[in-house]
Amino acid sequence: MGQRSRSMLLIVAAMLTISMMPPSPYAKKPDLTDVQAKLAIIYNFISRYVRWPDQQPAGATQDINICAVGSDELTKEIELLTKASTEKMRVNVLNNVALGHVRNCHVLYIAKSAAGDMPAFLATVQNYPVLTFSSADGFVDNGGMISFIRETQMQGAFERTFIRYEVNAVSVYNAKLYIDPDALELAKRVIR
Amino acid sequence: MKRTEITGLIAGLAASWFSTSALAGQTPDFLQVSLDQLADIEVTSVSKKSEKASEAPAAIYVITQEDIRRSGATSIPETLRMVPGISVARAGTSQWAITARGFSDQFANKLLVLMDGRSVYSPIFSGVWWDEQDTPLEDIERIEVIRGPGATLWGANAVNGVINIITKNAKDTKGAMISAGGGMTENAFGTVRYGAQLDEDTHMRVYGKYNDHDAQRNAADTADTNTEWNMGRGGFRIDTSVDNTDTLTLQGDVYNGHERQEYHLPIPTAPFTTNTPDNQEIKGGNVLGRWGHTFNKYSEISLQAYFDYTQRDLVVADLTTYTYDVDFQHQWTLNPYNEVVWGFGYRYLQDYVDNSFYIAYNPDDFSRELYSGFVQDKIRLLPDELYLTLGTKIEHNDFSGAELQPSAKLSWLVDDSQTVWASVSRAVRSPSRASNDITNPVLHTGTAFVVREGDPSNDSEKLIAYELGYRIQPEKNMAFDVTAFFNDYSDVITERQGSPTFVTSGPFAPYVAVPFVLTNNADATAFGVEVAANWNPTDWWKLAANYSWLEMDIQSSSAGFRVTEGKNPKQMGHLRSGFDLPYDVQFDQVLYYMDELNPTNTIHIPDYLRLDLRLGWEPVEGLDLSVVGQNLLDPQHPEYSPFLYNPVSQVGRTVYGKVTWRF
Repeated sequence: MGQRSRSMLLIVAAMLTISMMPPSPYAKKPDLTDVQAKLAIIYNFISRYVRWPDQQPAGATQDINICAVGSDELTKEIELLTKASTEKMRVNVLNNVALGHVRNCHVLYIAKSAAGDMPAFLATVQNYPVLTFSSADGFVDNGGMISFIRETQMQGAFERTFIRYEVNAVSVYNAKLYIDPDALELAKRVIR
Repeated sequence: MKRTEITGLIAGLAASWFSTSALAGQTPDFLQVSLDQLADIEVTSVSKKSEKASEAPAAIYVITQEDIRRSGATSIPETLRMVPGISVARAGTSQWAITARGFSDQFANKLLVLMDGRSVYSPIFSGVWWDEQDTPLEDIERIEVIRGPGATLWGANAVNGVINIITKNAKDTKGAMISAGGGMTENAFGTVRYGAQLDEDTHMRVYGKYNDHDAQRNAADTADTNTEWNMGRGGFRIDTSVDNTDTLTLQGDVYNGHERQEYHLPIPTAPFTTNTPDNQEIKGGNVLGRWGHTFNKYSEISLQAYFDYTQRDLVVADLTTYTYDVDFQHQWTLNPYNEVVWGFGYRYLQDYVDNSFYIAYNPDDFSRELYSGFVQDKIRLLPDELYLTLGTKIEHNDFSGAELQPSAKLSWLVDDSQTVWASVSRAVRSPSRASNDITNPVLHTGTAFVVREGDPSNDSEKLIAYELGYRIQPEKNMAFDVTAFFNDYSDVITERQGSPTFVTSGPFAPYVAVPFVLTNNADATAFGVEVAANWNPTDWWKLAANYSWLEMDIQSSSAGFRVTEGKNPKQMGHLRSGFDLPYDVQFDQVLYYMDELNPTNTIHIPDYLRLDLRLGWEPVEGLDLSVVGQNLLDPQHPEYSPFLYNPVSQVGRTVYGKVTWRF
């Protein structure tokens, strides 16, 4: 191999290496939409902060079934979570889940439009290892596990909106789900 | 390197690149944001139904509940000190002169103040009795302050600004709260509140509150002024929603208080004033209902009605007012280019005055009606970039007839972080009983009574206002907001000295009276700049600074007493810093600067610097302890010339402690 070919090879190798590097932590954080922030919270919980009792032995693929009932901006995009499937964790999304199937879900998202059915769904999954999410007012106060909250901070004429979450730790423990204490630390409010 | 080794290296690199990107490339970027990063990432809302304040073509500033809590303020007037362009001067134990952009006066009549949509501007006195606006600060969601004419949406008297106080929805005040404290001039204060969910969609709260304020210091600082202020207040609020399309609110308050003022009443014999302590009874009540209905995302209406009763029994007059008001509004997105708001309203006012020599209204009892309608169209000239808002309000009142208040505003959203706006508006301050019907001897010179007199033929004061503003948020943690304005006033009501008259009947007769008649005999211009900036250097340290500058010129054809430019501070500024320390401790510092005032040739109020500090601690969840020191740099200082018949009063250095327990 000649000098030139060796140099080119090194350049190509360098470019391939750089393209595999993680993004700089100092890069400007991107703005997200409400829905993206909420989906990111759900993804964080299923991939890192919550463990289900039906945990597969290491090496096998864990199935995570994400169910949604009702319809809102989030349920329209919830399918994106399937793209986050990895070898270790396969994410399945089931929209408009029926009451009879919810006990097979690992995660249940209840949209505000299904507020009328909420008591029935919560009663059906009570004490079953189903992690429940909603954006409805007072969800955690009525037995739900994780509520999304829109928090607006104003300074003068400037407004910044964030998506935070509240956790009803009692409901989580009753369902025999393990939740990482770090997730509770970051919550806006925790009901113990 | 051998050829086979090179091939192996390339293959290995390529394989690992493809496998990681095959997986990493699939998971959308936004899902990879971690939970603690998410707490700091701003979200943009998909639907932009309510306009962001930073894009509004108006000089707006919002005081949040957090701002109120950390300021250590114990009353609404004190919270307004943090707004650029609003001058707040405490004239006495229970008296404040608050105004925007000039014309500061006891009778500050160019500022409209609303409590949840209910006007708290007194039609007899032509100003706001701030001591009656004693809503518990913990119940306030936010206070929106708009400097400049907000006439289209808010109506007459919103000439120099609108202060819109909004209380929390009942669903945000669930549970019990007890708050109590005391200190040097805040003798004792306490609020008890209880909120509950009545059914799936309905929430309510009730509260009771009592305050006992100590007196301010006298001019020579040898003693407290002979004043007193204590108030009891109670109220409720019920909020309900039906089917996600309707919301209903019902709220009301009652209050009863006692004040002692020290009146220096003029008399015709030496020493020409007599000290008369006045024990005043103040009471009132109000009830308000509001219904909102959403037809679809393009159309929603709101209907509001309220009743308000106030009574003040002073030694110099008994004043009673009844107000009945109905307002309707429709927000309608006609098409992608036009967002229309239109509405109409009706108000019926009755007042009753028990006249005395010192304050007499003619007629003493009077009823009047106010009809209003408005329409506003926000026109989209360039999507997400240029908007033109045209609107006008039409009002008919019993003093000056029909008034038209048009305005045109342009907002240019330069990019995601910058907005430029400009506006031209016409606003009107309609005459009132205080400028038309009053006879009010103010002092005795030794030879004659000086008497303020209203003129029933007074016309409204007019304003054409030109404003320009710029806002930029260059980084997530800093923002800058500047507004410049030029106000052109005409037919301003000031006092014109009349010829002396000889009064032969009535109390103290015979005597010579020199009238100072309130008439539309002045023009004025005002030019100013208001700046607000904030910077959060770390996530536990917030800084905010405001500055405003005002240049006024009032031209009157009459001599003698008149509204002077000197009553308005040229410069005002404030700097605020807040630390979120470990162990749930918060430490806040505020430094205010207020320029000097020269309200008359003889009274001079020097400029002052005021430092307030607040130390707060939440030892367990729900329990808030705080200690607040106010005016720490100065043992005492005056802030304003005294109100009618009142002696000079100084604001002293003070400390108080407070406990708030939520459970």
